[in-house]
Amino acid sequence: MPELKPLLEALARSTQALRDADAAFRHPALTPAPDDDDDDSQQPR
Amino acid sequence: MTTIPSSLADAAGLIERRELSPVELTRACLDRIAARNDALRAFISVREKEAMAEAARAEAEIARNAYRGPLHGIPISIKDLVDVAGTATTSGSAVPPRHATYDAHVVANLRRAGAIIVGKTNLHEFAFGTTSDETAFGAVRHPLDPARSPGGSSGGAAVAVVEGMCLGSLGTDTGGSIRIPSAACGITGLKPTLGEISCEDVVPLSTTLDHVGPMTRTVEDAAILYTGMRDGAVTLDDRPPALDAPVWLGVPTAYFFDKLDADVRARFDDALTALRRGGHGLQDVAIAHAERTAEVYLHIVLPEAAWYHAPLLAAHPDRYSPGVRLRLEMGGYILAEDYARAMHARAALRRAVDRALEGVDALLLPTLAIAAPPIGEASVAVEGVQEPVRAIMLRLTQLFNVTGHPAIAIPCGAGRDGLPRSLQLVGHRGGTERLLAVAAAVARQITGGAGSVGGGVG
Repeated sequence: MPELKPLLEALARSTQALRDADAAFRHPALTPAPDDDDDDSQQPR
Repeated sequence: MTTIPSSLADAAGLIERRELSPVELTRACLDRIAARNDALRAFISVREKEAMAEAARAEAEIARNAYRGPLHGIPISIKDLVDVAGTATTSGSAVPPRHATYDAHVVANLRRAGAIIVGKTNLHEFAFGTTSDETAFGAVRHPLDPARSPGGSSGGAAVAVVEGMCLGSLGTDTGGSIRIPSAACGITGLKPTLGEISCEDVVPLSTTLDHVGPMTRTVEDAAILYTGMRDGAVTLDDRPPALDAPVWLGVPTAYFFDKLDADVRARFDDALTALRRGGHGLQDVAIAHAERTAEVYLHIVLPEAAWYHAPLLAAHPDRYSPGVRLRLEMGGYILAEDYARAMHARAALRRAVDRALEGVDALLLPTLAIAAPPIGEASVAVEGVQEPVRAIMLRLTQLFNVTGHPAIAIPCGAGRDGLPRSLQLVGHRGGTERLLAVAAAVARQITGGAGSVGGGVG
């Protein structure tokens, strides 16, 4: 299905973004950076 | 000719006092459907004979003092994604439907509470879209402007409520499909806490993101219908209690306010002003990683939808709408590893929303970043920038499907275009009843509790 090609290209970018967020989401096999301690916490603006 | 009351609660009060006949009320709703459905396509099927028989039974029960509660004798509609015994569940598709021999659990609960089912409403095919125009039964039309979409996927359910074709609708919400059409049409729509209301015998879009919930004209009506869906028994005591203290609300400013139509922003600011004037507390909060919501959502909804549809796609590929079919095909290209990655991220997002809720009663944000979009448009301009319609419509709602927090859309006035705008309140997990009480207080403050703004009921 040729119509699928641009959608799959967009999906590939989205997948890469999700993989790139492994550290932000604290992938359990990654050592958190020292300043990531409160990464999930509320940060009043 | 019977006048249809402006709310479910009003109708319930009249029925309990025997000042309104369920038979006459149901007849009036069926007449509204007959008058307007060809133009608006809110309903796929109408249960005229069955509904009138159910209304006659309800009336007879009430006459012999067997009143069951505020849903007894009330005409409602069911999204055609949900099994109702003796009807086809079309899911808005030309794919062969399943034929229900018994009611879905949530429908059985509503029947036990005495509700009358007038028909099954139109939707975006298989609930996989936000505009209700990809459906085998004709695009659902917005009541205020037939060239516009009422939102979706529960578009027919919203139109049915606005038009007085019923006094409440059952909708489903996987990324915003109750709240988006409720916002676009100016009514109230509740997505309860994940798992609170059974999704058994509801055609799934995404087995871990799907929710069932009520769509009504007021918060009070939503509370009544929610309790009936959950428990099968409801009394007027299930209406949200009046709170004896001001509410405290967190406004998650980052990400959620980056892309908003100017009138959405203006009505939201008006609501903040009204809430401050009423003595309610407001504070800015942040939800960590909210900007990554779309990626997480996509890597859950696509593979889960692809799983359910795999055998149907193999057997009937050409019966699907082209856009829905493409989205379903995409799901087959996601690796199991990335699905697991998204589920891990989901837990982090859940914690982030929990933390944003610490110390506040609810979060307050807009429901829908734009007004009801023109039917057939792939993109819309938001503050001068073209945005894909589907992505911009899901932007403010899908996070709370991922995290499972209860969320409710309530109308907050109209834009300069005359189209409704909406606020969203998000409560603590497991705190749907408290959220309804907070929403009732907020609605009273910003609109005087007037309920929907989407159209008239005759």
